[in-house]
Amino acid sequence: MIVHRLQARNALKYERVDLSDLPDRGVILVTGPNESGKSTIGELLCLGLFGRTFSVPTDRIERVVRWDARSMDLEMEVTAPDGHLWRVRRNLDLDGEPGASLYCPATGTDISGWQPVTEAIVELLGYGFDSFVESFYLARRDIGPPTPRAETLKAMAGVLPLETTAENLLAQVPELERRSVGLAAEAEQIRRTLAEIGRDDLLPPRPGALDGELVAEASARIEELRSARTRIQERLPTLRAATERLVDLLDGAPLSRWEKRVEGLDGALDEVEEAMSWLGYADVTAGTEKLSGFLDKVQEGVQQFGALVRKAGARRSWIAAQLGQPGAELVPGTVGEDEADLEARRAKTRGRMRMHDRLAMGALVIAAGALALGFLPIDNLPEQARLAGRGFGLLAALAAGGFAWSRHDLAGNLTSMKLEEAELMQRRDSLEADARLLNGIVDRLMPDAIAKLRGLSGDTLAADLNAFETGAGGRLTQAGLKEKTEAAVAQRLTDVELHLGDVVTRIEADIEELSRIHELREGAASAVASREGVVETLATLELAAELAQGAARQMTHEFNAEVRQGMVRVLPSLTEGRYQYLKIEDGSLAVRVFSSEKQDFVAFEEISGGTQRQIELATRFALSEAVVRGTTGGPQFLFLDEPFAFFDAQRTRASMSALPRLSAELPQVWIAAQTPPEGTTAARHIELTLAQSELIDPSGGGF
Amino acid sequence: MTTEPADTPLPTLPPDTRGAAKAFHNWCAEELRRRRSRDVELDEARFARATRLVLGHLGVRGEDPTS
Repeated sequence: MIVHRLQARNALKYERVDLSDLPDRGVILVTGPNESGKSTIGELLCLGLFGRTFSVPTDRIERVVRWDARSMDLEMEVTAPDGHLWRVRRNLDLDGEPGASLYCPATGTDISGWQPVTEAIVELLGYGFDSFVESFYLARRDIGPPTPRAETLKAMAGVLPLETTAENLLAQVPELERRSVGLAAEAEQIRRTLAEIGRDDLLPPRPGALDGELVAEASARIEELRSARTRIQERLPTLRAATERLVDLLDGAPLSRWEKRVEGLDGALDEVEEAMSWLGYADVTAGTEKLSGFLDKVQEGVQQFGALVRKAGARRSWIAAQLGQPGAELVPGTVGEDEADLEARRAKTRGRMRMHDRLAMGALVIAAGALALGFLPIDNLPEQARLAGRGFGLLAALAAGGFAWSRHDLAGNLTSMKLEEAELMQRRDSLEADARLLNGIVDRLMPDAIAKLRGLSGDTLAADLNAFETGAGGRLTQAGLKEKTEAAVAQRLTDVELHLGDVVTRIEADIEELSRIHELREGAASAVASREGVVETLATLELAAELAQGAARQMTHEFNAEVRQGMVRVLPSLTEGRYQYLKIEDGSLAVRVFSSEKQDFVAFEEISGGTQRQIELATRFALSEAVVRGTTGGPQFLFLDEPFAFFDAQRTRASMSALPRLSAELPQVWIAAQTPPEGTTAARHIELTLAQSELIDPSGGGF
Repeated sequence: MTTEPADTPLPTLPPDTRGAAKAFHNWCAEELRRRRSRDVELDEARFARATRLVLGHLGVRGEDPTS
């Protein structure tokens, strides 16, 4: 940044300052006795750029207003590193807020506000007030040996933020390590508590399982128990209803209803037992055993009844077949088939009898004719014919007798058939009676169905009926069974409900215990996860510190190289060739100077005081130059306050002559001195007196 | 425009970043390349986090290129 104009009113010691058309290059020499206001010009430059000075605390900024005034104005015109002309204005009123503006005519950028203007200028420059004061505003006290001011050098090299960052990061390490140890201990303590709780019955130990898996397992187990509890509670009313509906049938019911209600209770019991089986409780099904026993007995009776009914149905189908009823197949040996056979035989016999009647009649006619021929006195009948007639007639008569006898046998057959028919009728009647008993047997109430079955002819289903009556089925047909059983079943149902209530209570207690285990496992998992996070944070933090330190070393190295390079140019000019260059140790930043005379490095402390000051000035100059290159790279003014305090006249002349030509980065050099160095010239010379309260440069314009 | 080498997981910097943050970022990019060539188990994500952490301390909000 190059200053072209500085104007102020009632600022610090001055009522008025007006420095205009300041030269871009060369020395601007400010001379005057002590207290004449030389350093004040440097402070006004600071105030204009950064809104503060190095002699007035920032929280008492109103002190920049001259002692006899109520307000202060300041205006500067500068060329920033971006190459544009900028105008800075600041004003401070003791009765109001501070104001500021920053305006660039080329871009039209216009910023208002004390702090925003400061921030915009810092952005333009690439460094702030502290770096400015360290690098470009060098009071006599600052042009000192660099060694004891390692922090300053680091700040100038730009490594201080990195080193500070590394220190800040590493400062967090002990606390993070403590947290890591604490979290590990917390996880261990939780595991010990879990081991003390035990409850392997609820959650069997799983060595090697991950914490997350253990938490999920506890969650799943809790859900299982909750689900089982819900299922048990939801199914209790169903179980009660199914039981009561089954008990209702003890008055008697058809098979289909028995089977349906047995199935209903069986299903309800199965669901409850299934829900309880999820629990994994060893003795949990004991409470439903009595109700299950009741169901088993009913189920057994119903099964026997069902077997009977199904056999009866089969018997009914068999009878239909025996009787040849419509829809039934006619099979050999059945009543129907026998009846048909009898009818066929009877028809056949009757046919044969009619044929025999006709044959007998024919034989009699022939016999009569033949005998008439043989015995009647017929004239001219030859004897042989007469004899033949008699013989033939006899034979015909015999044939007629044979046919008559045969017919008689056939008639006897018909008589036998009548007996056979009577037997068949008896069989049919019996079968039809059984059929009537069996009709609709499936839909008959159990006692009625059993009574009908008992009425069947002969020993039909007798063995099955005996098995039913002596087995579980017989109990279902007892009179008054419902009344006898109802109270007992109700008691069993109540027992079941009480038992299930106990189970639910146990589930709830276990859920509570599991929730505690779950919470502890979550705590352990959380502690482990947090510790992993802390360990990762530690690793990241240590790596970050390592990177910051590495980058700082590199920057220091580069900065030193930059400074050394600058020193090769600057040092011989300022020391008139007696010293060539210097080196600064990367680590300690100790300074050693190469002497042309000794052709070797000598320690800074071994050099005479005046030369030390020259080297210090050269060093600071090279450092400032390096800072410019490391930041914006643009030309920058340098303000040196009493830089030649310990120089002799020769050294002062040499330095005054060399300084403005040493660096393209630092073309405008402000030098404050008590008296103008003899034999030197400056691009601008501003002379101050002790009593002067107005500084109006003759080259400047009005304010 | 970014100042981030394309083959690194380092956060990208605002284009006007200068000073220590810029120098640090450049050095980290070089350091990452060096570590890649010698450390087969290099945790690049951690490296990126560490870089971002330092940049944060330097007042620069690096943008995660993987996000």
